[in-house]
Amino acid sequence: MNGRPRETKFAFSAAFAFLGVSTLGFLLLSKADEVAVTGFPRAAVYAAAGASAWACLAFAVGLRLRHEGWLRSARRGIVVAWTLMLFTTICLLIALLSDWYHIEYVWRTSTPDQPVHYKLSALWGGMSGSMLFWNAILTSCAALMVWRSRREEDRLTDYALGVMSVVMLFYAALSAGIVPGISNPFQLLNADVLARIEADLAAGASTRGLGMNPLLQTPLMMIHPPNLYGGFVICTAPFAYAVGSMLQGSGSTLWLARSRRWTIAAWLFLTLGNLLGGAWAYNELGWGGYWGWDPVENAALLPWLMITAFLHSVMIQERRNMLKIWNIALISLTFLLVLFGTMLVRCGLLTSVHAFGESSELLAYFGSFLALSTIAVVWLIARRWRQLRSVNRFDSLLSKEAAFLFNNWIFVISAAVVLAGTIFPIISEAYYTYVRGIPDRKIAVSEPYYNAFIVPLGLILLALTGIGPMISWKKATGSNLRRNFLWPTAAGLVAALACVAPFAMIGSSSPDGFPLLKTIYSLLCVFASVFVLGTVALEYWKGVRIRLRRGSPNLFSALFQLTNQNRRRYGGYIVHIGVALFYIGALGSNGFQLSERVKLAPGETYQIAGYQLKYAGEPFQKRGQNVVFHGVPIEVSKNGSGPIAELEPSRGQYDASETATYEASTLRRLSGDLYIALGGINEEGKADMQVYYNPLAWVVLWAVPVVMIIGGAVCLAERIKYRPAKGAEE
Amino acid sequence: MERKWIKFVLAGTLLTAAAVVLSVVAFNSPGANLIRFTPDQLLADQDGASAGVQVDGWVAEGTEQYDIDRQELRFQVRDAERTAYIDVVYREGLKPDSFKEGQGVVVSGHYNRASNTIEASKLMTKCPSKYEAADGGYAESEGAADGGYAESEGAAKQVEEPLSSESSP
Repeated sequence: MNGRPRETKFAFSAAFAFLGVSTLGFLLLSKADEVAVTGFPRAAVYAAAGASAWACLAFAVGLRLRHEGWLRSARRGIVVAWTLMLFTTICLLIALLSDWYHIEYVWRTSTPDQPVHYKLSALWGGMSGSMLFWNAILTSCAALMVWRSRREEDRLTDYALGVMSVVMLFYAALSAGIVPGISNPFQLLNADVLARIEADLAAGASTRGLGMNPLLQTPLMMIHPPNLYGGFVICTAPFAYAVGSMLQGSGSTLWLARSRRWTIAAWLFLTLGNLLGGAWAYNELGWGGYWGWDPVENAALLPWLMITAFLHSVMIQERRNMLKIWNIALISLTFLLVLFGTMLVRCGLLTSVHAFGESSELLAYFGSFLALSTIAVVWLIARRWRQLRSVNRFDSLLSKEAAFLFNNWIFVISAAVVLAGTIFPIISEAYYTYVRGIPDRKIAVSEPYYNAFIVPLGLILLALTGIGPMISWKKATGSNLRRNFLWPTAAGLVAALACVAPFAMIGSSSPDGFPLLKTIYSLLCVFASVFVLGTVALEYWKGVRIRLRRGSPNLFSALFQLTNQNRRRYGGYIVHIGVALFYIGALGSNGFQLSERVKLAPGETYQIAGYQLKYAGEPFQKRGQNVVFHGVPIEVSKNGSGPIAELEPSRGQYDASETATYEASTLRRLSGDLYIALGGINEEGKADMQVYYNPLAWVVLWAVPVVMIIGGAVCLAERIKYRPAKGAEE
Repeated sequence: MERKWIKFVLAGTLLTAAAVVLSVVAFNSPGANLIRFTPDQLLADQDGASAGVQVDGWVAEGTEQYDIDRQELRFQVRDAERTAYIDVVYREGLKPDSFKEGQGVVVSGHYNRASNTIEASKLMTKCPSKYEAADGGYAESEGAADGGYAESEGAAKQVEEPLSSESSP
């Protein structure tokens, strides 16, 4: 009676069969003619765009007429687009691995002697490849939505898929190369250029292909971009459900249940993407830090701030059916900020202002889609305004609702501040040009602005991380507050007091001394972190005690059962542990970082943070697969004892690159990282180095991502039950 | 009912006001806001330049001097038309990744008009030029950017992750 499961299964089987056969065919045909065969994937991108366009149209007609036949066809269109994008991606990977330098993209991002894993990661090492990769993820999300809704009629998902298909069309058209600035990944290299490369090779040029940027040839760049792109793209799914729900007009909270896993997945990938990006900067850029408030970093942070706010405020809608408009606004802003960030980065809007004219078409394309999406969302909210108004009201400032509201307020304000800082050059240029009549003047803001703002806000947020989960709904009573917060507060106070003396000592021993404000912030940070850890520990303890009384054999099984039975809640607690750890690590590695410029001649020594560094021996040269490292051996010893490690800070000269890159060398210890970047070596062998001591850097770079993965995975494994919230008009 | 709302609105207003004050303070904290110039604009500008400036230009060819003994980097930053040149001294940190002659850079620091020198506190390189290949604005670096194959249109401007690599003190 319901043909939907069978039809969906058939569509997916056909898709996989097509993928297998076409990939095999592609490989076989490429033996005959590797230039002509690239016509297939090149055409497949156009076909995918066509399939997305068809899906848009068919969803529009099918949803309007409530006609199942059109909707079925539209869902098939999505599956077709997904299959073709996947096929193209596989072909590009094959092309990269097979060194087909007649394809422009391969020539730009790879060289024959580039290690295999970096040939593969060249998929996202350049503009058009990463756009294809983006499309592959986006269409996979849509296909997964089709698959998950196969069992029964699911009108909401059909509406959401309609929204997805519009976004798919937008990005697929980019990959197809309709806008100058991004080209089809299978565009062939211009014949003249090809001829000149051949001539150069004949004349003895060492290598063909421009090769991937050396800065990207690092293991972290193999996992950071997929995470970040994954996060960006998956944000589309909850947005599609929000808009789909408004289009459908049922006014139910079903969209929250349907989009929950997507939201958590997007959040997890964004979190990891940002953390791993920081780790990449730390390891690769040689300036001893992991976050510099660069526009690109900000562009990745903004959607994270919004989706994290959304993640929290949906709980209020689920429980009390409030903040409906707010939630739609938050997830819409997440999507719009992804689009905006992509525009900033892809169109070179910020750092290379001179490229304005160059990418104006791309800018116009992104800008108009951004504007249209914004108008559409605003219009839809206005249309559904009456349906979306809240029935319930806020009762007390001392309640979970209020805590969540403050949390949201901080996230949104932070996002506004970061956004304002990021686009300040553009705003101020407009101001000077149009208001003051001074052309070409703009103002840039830098780290001190962000730090001065984000530190106090971040500390309030951290405190709320502890308060929010424990405080009661509606109105907290004195006994609720005492029961949940007395011990954690005490623990936090003890920890902060214990830190007063050491912080004062470190402050007085540092050359410039510590400003009072910094000491206060540091102590508050210790207090709040321990407070948060305390609330989580107390909550676990209460749960475990009950389990043990009810017959759990031991502590571990009690912990496991507890987490397993309420995955969303305890997954969230684990994430909160990660948040507290992040603050502790950031306090150490930012607040207490030591950084010294050091010059050493062979044989000389230097003292830092209890370590003795000795320039032991001569400068060295080492050959890697496609790189030569020029460095110096530095022997590290703890004061008084023998050598404990040898560090080899160096600069890497890649064959296909003109400039050398930093290859910082790090001694990782529990207390902190000793990090040495080499600036240069002169003829006498004297080395110019920047030496950093980053206390607890590993907490931010390694421990936090791991905890976040665990917490996020537990949340993802939640058993989602949909029950309409109280007061819903259904 | 209505009273409770007022409480929330008041709290929200107060907090937002606090945020605005904080952001103004943050904006005015030392080194937080810098006027951005191109080298020719800075030379032409008669006022305001003694404060912090940020200069957006290119490392002039043949001017890079990295003195390991004195641990300082000297170069000139030029505009696109190669008409204006400003001396830069950078001692605060190592030179950033992919710094080289002809490379786009953003120099932040204090400008001394008498000696036409910027005492740089921060130096950033723009996207490695290979990635900006074949793009009009940058192409005047004689295609060196592109290994000499500068005309190929299309896949230009791959402004991916390392939009800028930084070097902060």
